[in-house]
Amino acid sequence: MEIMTLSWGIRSRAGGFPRAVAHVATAVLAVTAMLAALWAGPLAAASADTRPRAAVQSPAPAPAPVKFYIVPPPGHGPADSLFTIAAKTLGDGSQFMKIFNLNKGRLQPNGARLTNPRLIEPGWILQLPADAAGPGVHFGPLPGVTAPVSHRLSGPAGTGSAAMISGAVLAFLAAGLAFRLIRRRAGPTRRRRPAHARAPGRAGRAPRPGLQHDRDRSIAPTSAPAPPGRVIGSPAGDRERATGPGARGHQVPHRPAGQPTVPADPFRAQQSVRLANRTVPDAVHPAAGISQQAPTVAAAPRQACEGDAAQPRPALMEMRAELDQVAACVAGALQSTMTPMTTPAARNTTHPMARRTTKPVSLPGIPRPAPAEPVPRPAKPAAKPAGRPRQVRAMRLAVLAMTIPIVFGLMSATGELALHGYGFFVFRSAGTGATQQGSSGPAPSQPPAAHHPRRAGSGQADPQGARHRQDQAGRDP
Amino acid sequence: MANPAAGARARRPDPAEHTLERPPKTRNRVDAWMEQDLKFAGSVIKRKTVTVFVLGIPALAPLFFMSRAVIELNSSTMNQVEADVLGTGAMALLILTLTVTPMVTLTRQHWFVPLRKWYGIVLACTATADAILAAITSSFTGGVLGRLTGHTFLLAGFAMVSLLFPLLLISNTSAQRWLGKYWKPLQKLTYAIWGLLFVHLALLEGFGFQNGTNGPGSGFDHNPVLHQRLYQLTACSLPLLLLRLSPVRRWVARQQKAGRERAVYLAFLPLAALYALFFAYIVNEEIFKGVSAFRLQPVNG
Repeated sequence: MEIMTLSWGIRSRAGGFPRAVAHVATAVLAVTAMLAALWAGPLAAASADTRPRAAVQSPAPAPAPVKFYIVPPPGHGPADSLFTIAAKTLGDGSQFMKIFNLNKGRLQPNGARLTNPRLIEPGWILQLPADAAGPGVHFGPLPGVTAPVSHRLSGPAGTGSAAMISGAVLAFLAAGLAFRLIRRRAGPTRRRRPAHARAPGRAGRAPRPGLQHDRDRSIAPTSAPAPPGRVIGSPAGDRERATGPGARGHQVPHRPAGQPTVPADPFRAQQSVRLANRTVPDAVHPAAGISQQAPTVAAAPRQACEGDAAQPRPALMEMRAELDQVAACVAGALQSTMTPMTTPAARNTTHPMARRTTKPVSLPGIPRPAPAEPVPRPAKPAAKPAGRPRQVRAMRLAVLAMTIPIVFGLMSATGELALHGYGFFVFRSAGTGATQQGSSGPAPSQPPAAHHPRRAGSGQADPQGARHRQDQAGRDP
Repeated sequence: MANPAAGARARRPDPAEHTLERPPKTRNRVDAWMEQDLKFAGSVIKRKTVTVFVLGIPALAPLFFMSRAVIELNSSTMNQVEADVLGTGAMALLILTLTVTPMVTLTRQHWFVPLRKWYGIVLACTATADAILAAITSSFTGGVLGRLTGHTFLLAGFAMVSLLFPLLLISNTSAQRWLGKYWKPLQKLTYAIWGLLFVHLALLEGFGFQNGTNGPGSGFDHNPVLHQRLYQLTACSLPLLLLRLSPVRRWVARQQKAGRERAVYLAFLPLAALYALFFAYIVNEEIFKGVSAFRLQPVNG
């Protein structure tokens, strides 16, 4: 945090500081931070090692005897695994997780630790469950395992490791900060393009509200106080840049009036504004020079390219005329197949194809006859755009699925007509055209009852063979 | 079967609309209101969703009415009233399905358009159930084939179901992608089903004002026409057909553009009243027969 604060201080004063001094100061700070971090670990470890030696060296109680297994070196047979050890000692290989849980993370003689149940190494001492038995099972105090001796300052392992890790993290952070600071000074080529100049790669992501530009350090939050002079973030500044010598040919989108703004950190805003005010004038002058030199620099290649292009142009024009003539001949031939010819002689004299047989059409350098009148092509009928083959197949399948049942129904109806006759087929159950009783269809045992009470004296014949009429007596209870 | 009447509000270029400068699509106030969120018991749901759901529930009524008879295998009930309940219900559903597009034309609201697909799906299910139950339980002679295609009106009904069932199968988004530009023409076969329903009812009941299946000798209102399914369908189809004609649609669009929406409503008020009158009889018949079927006390006629 202190380094960061110092760096911010340097950056904030960069307007008056020589830039090289700022670079050197940043680099010195970074190196100092790294060295301090590297030394912080051992020193912290040493300072933490002030506990009474007696407490460290107090004799530990004798460990209880347990059953353990020493992984042998690989022999001729398959190498040991926790599964085989469990099978040998516990009688069931599937209980290998018991062994794994007993030894998980414990330091082994070679300095490694058991972390993967699939990976054990020769010489490892594996504690076994109490019910283990069989060859290779030892019983007694678990042999002590000492950690590999470190060449660093001795101290409690946990404290030293934590200090080392914290030192390394600090060093990493300091290095990253220094790198970032230096990179920001590196110039506009490394700088990320502002949001309005980037292509909408992420599907038109909207810029953050309240900011004129996105992710660019030359942003002035709209809520920040406008410093005197030219301000990039202000609309006036944007217009000036867009129309000035360094304009990129695009307009900066302005925030519409009334859009809510996001309160920004005024300190960072001021830093951004100062940085922008310092960098933009430096960039404007080179850009103006480049824009002035660009026409003169580009003129020579342009002339060369135009000269190169002018050489094949006549030949291309000739080729185009040839192709036009050939197209006219083909069109005439096509039309001749559709229109009846009068006489062969007339064809030989009028058809362009016939002229081609007698006289070569064109050769380079030889004056050609005037191109024949273009024969109007026969008007093509407006073809419907063909659908995709997959969709056509799907449509045919759907139509088939509708047609097959209908054809089946027609065949079935034809069969019924042949079996029962026309009277049966045109049977009508109700309505004005109800067929007479006995013609066809189901004849109800009793006259059907109506939903609505029948009008007395209507004189209408009861429909015979009503499909859906049954006697009221036929109701279910 | 979805989007059966999609041809009305269509991509088909309408020459008069080009000349008349189609009015800019302004969002209807009702549509905007339907898009608002409705907070209910800690959850947020659109009003449109709730309304469409509520309006879609009655479509299941025919299947619900017959469910008890089917579950209890009550062949008597199924034999007597399955065609009345399921057939009348399918007719009502077809009319409802075909009503959505004219309603869009008239009101310029779109929040109820999803109902068209839902009603179409339930229509196909209801018609298929009607065909299956008729083939199994009805008392016609000729076996299963005779019960399905033995008579002319049965053949017309079977053709309707034969068209409806594939349309039901392709009424999903995957089939829409699968068929591409052919999906819509296939769904327009609903109009063929509409015509087949006329044929079916004409062959079943015939023309005339006597001995209608639903009202032989007329009912309590002494008006057999209102109880005859063929005339019910004709009366309900008349405004639906009229509002699908291009000149009428152009006239409606012109009036709406001119801000004379009341004139449109007034012009179609008689047809809407006719539609409502006959549709009320259809619904009345469906509820009457359906409730009796659910109570396993079917009423004939």
